[in-house]
Amino acid sequence: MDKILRIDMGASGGPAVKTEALGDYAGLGGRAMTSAVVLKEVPPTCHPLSGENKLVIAPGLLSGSAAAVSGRISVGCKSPLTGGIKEANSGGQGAQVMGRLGYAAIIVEGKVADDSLYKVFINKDGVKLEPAGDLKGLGNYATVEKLSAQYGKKVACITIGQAGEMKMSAASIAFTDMEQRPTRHAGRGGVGAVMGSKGLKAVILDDDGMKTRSPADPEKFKAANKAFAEGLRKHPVTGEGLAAFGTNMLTNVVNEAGAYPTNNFQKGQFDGASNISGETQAALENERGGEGSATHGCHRGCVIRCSGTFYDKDGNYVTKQPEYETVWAHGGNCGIDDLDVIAQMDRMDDDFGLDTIEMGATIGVAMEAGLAEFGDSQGAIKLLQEVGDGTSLGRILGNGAAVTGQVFGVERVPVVKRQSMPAYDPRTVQGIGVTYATTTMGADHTAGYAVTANLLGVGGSVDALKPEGQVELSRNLQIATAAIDSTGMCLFIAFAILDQPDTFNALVDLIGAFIGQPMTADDVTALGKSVLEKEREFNLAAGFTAKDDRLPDYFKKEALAPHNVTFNVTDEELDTVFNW
Amino acid sequence: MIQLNLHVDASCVSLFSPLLEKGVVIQTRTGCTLRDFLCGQLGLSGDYLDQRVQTLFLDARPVDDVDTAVIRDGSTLALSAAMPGLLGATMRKGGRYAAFRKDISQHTDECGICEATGRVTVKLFNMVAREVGGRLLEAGVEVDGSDLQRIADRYPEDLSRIIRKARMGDHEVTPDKSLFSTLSKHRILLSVSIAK
Ligand code: SF4
Repeated sequence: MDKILRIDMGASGGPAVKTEALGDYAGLGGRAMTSAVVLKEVPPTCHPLSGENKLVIAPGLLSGSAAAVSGRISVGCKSPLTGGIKEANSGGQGAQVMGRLGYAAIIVEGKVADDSLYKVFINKDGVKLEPAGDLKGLGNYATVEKLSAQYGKKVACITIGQAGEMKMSAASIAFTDMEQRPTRHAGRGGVGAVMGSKGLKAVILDDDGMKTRSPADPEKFKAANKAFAEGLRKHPVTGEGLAAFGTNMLTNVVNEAGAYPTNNFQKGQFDGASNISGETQAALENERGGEGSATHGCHRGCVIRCSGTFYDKDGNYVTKQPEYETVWAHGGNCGIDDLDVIAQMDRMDDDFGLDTIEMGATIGVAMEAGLAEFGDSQGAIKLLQEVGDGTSLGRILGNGAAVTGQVFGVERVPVVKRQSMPAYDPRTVQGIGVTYATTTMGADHTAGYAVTANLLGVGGSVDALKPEGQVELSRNLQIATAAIDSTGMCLFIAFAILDQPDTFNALVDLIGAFIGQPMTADDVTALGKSVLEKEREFNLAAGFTAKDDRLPDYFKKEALAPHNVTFNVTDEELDTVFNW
Repeated sequence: MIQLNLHVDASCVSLFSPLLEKGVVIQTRTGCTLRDFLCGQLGLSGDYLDQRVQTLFLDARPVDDVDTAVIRDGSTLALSAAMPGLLGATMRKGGRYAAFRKDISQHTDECGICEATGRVTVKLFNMVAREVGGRLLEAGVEVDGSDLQRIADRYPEDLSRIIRKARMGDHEVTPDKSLFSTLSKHRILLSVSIAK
């Protein structure tokens, strides 16, 4: 990956493309790349939907190589949802294909002068930018179908649906999976709205004739990759649990712990949890059968394969296997315990191009406002349809939980920096609460999701339900996560590398052999820190202050059943997270 | 309480897993440690408990030490294999991040002698349900008839294939929809054995 593609949608005479050398961005991948570009090139106070904002798409450092589980891709910009810096991460084929085409980043800048739409086709021969008026108003599925008819079944597509075209703050960017379906999304923060604001509907990547990226030290790389993949396969979580039950295997356990936000964060346990658990989901998928039903990868080269395919009772394809966060957001958070309904809403989100977490949280807030009853699945589907249709109500909902709460006068709105919280109640596991409060991204579970901190030598034993130590813990987790997000590795590798030091060493060797210089745990920590520093710098310049690093007040006042706990980390402690 | 014994095909035992996720009640000796209960009474091997069962909740509180936590009359005990995610790591038994949730953790308790019998609700999740569930169901568990009916409702056409023989008390009965709908309002003492 030795070049950057710049697409200037606002160039005089019409959108134009330019390929350039990496320059200052050499050696960066994934989140390290997106955050570096956004900090350097985007004015922090610009309007997120203006021509001054830039959309950066960057595969991880190892994407496009033979490294196992390295096909994650980062999308960065100034977020229309939070107003701060954003990195949204996705699976799908995009990272591998883009890596093999040799692009370390695609940077989309400017915006079209009118409301026209374009698509960009990239292959070994170069880049073609063409009008895409025929795709206007189409959902992601219909868009990809048309692109597939034109460019063939093997290309990878990056697209937006109606929500992105309508510039909604919950709009995602879709990446096609191995079956060329638009099921993987850079979901968070409204990145789809930024793509829509620029007038770009689709990027089509064709790596026909391109080779897998070769490592600097092939022998060492091969040995390390083998050891790394074996480590993932032998661990009970990455080698067995995730494949059998998917991430949704968390439902029963989170619910049992009393940390499962139910009915818009009113309770910590959901009576219908076992009806929508990973166990129930896997049994249903196995029973219905079909290609890739209960175990499937989101991209080629994943050895964990936490995903699957959801078919209806008649065997018709509905969507990919909804993951834990989605099942929670459209399920327990809205009092809904029907997997078919949840799958239908996941399909609608993917088609309209919406973040499932934001939409589930928004519908939860709408239910609290009385727009539907908790548990009313048809009411929830109707609200989501309004978003896709772009009705007045739909445009409110499509801009997320914070806007919806404001419009309908709801106090219990679970957001930080206007972004919805994911599926763990921060009152029960307060270390996660510290991360929600302080991450540069707005409430985000993946920031701080990597449990590698101890192995990186930056962790420690910390009591997450007592204020002392949580800050340090969250800091270390955020550093580790930022580093992993930059490699293109899926965060789910974390469990195997936490438990198995030899697997962690294999990973460090793998990165070292690929880039041609030995890596140490200190290097990984330094990379993570530098990413966070850049993101903090951008947010500060965009006007964020310590007051934005807070959970909503009600988390400190409303005790959560069954443990009757409130969030008790003080503001002063939260303010020390980034003191290093 | 109605006593119901079902003889099912070996491949169909997993259809009863939803009962285990929701929780089944067993009559047992109480006042003893979780290890005594799980190994001595449920028949788990020590190795299985130590290595496979990575996550335990006693009355919604994560357990770190199965040798000190004590099972009581009315307790709910949930067992799971290792879980993904930061939360999974946090809830793990005695794990690196166990201190994360100390305030909701199960604390050391005074272990009485296994002094009395009581009713304990046992929940089994994921791999543990697959591996231990059959044994538990065979030994006999108390469930809500409505939960059994929900399972029967999922396979209305296949009940006679799945269930080879059914006995209610001393009488053989036909395992059809109407049986499960009749049972739906009762507590059932259910045992599920593999048809030979
Ligand atoms: S573990 Fe799951 S999310 Fe991660 S790369 Fe594999 S299939 Fe995708």
